[in-house]
Amino acid sequence: MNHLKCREISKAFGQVRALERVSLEACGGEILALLGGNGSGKSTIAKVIGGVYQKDSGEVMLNDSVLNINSPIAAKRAGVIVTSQELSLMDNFTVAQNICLSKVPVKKVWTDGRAVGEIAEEVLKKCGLSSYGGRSVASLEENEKYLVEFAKAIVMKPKVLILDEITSALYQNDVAVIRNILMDLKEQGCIIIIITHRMNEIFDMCDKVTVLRNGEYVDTFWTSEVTENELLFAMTGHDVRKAVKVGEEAGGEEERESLISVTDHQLSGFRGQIQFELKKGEVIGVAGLQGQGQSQLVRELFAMDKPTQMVFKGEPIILKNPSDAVKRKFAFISGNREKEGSFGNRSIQENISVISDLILSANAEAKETVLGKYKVKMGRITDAIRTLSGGNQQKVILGRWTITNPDVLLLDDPTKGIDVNARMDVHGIIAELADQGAGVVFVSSDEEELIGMAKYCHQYKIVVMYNGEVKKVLSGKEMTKENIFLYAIPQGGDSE
Amino acid sequence: MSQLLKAKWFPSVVLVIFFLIWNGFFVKGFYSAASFRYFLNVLVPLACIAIGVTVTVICGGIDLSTGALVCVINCSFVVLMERGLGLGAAIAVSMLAALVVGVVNGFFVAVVRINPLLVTFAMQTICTGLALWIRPNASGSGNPEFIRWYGSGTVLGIPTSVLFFTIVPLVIWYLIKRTPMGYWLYAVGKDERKSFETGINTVAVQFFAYIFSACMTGWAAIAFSGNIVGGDPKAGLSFTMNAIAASVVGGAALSGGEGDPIGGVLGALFVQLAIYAVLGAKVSTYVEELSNGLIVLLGIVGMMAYSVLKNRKRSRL
Repeated sequence: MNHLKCREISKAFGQVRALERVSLEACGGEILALLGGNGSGKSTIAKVIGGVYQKDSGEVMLNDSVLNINSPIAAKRAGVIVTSQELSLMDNFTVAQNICLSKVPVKKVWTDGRAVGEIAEEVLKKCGLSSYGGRSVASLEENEKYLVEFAKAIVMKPKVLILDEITSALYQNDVAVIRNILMDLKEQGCIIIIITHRMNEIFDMCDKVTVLRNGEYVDTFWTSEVTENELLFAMTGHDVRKAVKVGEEAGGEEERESLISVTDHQLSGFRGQIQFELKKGEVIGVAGLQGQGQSQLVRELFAMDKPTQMVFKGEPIILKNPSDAVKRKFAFISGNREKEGSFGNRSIQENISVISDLILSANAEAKETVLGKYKVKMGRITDAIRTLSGGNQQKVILGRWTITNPDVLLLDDPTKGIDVNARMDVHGIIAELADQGAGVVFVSSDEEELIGMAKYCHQYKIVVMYNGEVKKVLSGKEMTKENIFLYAIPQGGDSE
Repeated sequence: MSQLLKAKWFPSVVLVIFFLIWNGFFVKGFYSAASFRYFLNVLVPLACIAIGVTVTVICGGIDLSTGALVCVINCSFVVLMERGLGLGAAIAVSMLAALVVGVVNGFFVAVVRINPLLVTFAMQTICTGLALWIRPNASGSGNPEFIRWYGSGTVLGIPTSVLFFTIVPLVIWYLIKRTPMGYWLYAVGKDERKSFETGINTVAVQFFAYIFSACMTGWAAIAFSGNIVGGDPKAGLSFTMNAIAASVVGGAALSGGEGDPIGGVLGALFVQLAIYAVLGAKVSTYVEELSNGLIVLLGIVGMMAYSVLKNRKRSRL
């Protein structure tokens, strides 16, 4: 039986120790889950095994022989395939070309174009994306991109397959597809390691789960012998359930000042009905299947691509561009940190002050306050922000907006790929801002997160979108997963 | 037809057709056999360099050393033949020299990982110096047989200059494009990190791009030597920027991952036609370069506007 062993692997990035003598074992015929908060080192160890990062010490062994993997090329040769949390697809290629990019089929010396199509079609069919081969990557929905990323990995017929957060943007039925394929691979003796934050997937798919915390190995459990709470405890080192703050019952129907209201035709990119009102101190969760206009809604409210008409604090206005929006105390946070949130190569302090210095003159201590208050785990304030884990980066980015005391906070899936702890911190910050009187629009691809937000916020409701329309507004006890799915999935469509 | 409309280099076709008609009307005798042939002979070296530069641009880099490399090889080619080397041997030595320059560029860009702008700019200065050292003043007569062959020979009715120094390089490019290297060049140009994580040997791919560019430039220098008679240490310098302009007009994105050498050839055709159009308009020699530059700038702006519009259309819901 195939057998992968990592022994005492250490890795540091500058000041931050990402992995501290982490050992890990995975066998063929078993699926291992890697679980841990952000900055726990899951992605780092995946990248070390995949040759993207060079380990400082320790060794990786496959079937008792030492693997010397110093680049993804060497990993590929050894049959080790690691998918990246940030997609590796390129939008100047078709889906089929992307799938075959790791191993271009060749006839003599020439690229075998027909084989590219056939190989891709075979694996795409398995993934439920039959005849997608000729499409451009740019035309795919977000979840489809992750499925293609998965297809690109399994087409290599790996001996060791490590999937880093491949399911975070997927729907239930996509996950089922991936599950079936993984079960087949497992039977064939492939070593499979999955990194995910979704507990149900761990219990559903995986045989064992290894928990990491702060770059150190904590423990390994059989999923059949462990509970969710025990895992959370192992991850965080304290009992999460007790820490959850329960919001007081929503007070009487006090009349709150309206912040934003939009009616039909004021938002240009929507065909359907958008009736939308955001009040002071209110949090609105936006649910729906991926790509039904949720992102576009918050982006338009921030005038991201073109001017937006709306009624703001009772007067009709036109927001010309994001800079105009910021002057009216709007704030926007994207789930796409790399592109739209952080300035990866610049320091943490610059990433905070970029907003306050340019637009509002805030005092220097504000930075320290933000970092301290939100418990950002970092080396030095002058380190590049990309040395932080995703959760910590997002806390910095959220924190920098809190300095400006925004009236309207627009969030586009801000916790995508962030662990439980950091999520709770982010939720706390959002609730705090709402309590201070800000209106919040909160888009999330995770229904449970949207429902869970109710615990933090006094004024909270969920709108469900489908095909560019607000289908339903849920509040109070109506906010259940079943109700969200009821309105998010079209009638007569293939619901689960 | 729809394929043609979709190609990134489509606007350059429009520009080229426009100037072909314009020059027919406003440049005296443009379409007379002799002067059109001369036009092609002048164009060919630029087209050949543009093919190579476009490949470096596709791969996410740039090559600023081409013009100076033309000068070095032009001078050494002439000097070698003056010293009694045969034509074939002189070509072989010249191509070897080009290869060395490509390897050095590739080494510093791909292995040492210095910005290609700096590496090839330094190489440009080195080559300019070398050319001056080899031949301080424009002089010499070259190989009369070669010049005749280049200037007026034909094969199956195709001018030798065009056939050997533009069509053959294009064919070589298309053969390369049919190998996995064709995929890899575009992948590395689009996103080096993703390509690396995908398991593409990014170092080898970048190396290849600079070697290809230098070899194309070397080959262009030999064509150039068939055109200007002697060796001239300065005459080729303007190729550098014209070739980059040509590849951009031809649809290559300086951000990498997009473009096609055929577009580079069309872009070169546009640049050369524009030069002729200005000459034909008989503006004062003092504003000739200014007018050229403005036309090329318009071409580039037009190209950019086209691709922005195209992208906007694609991203609309």
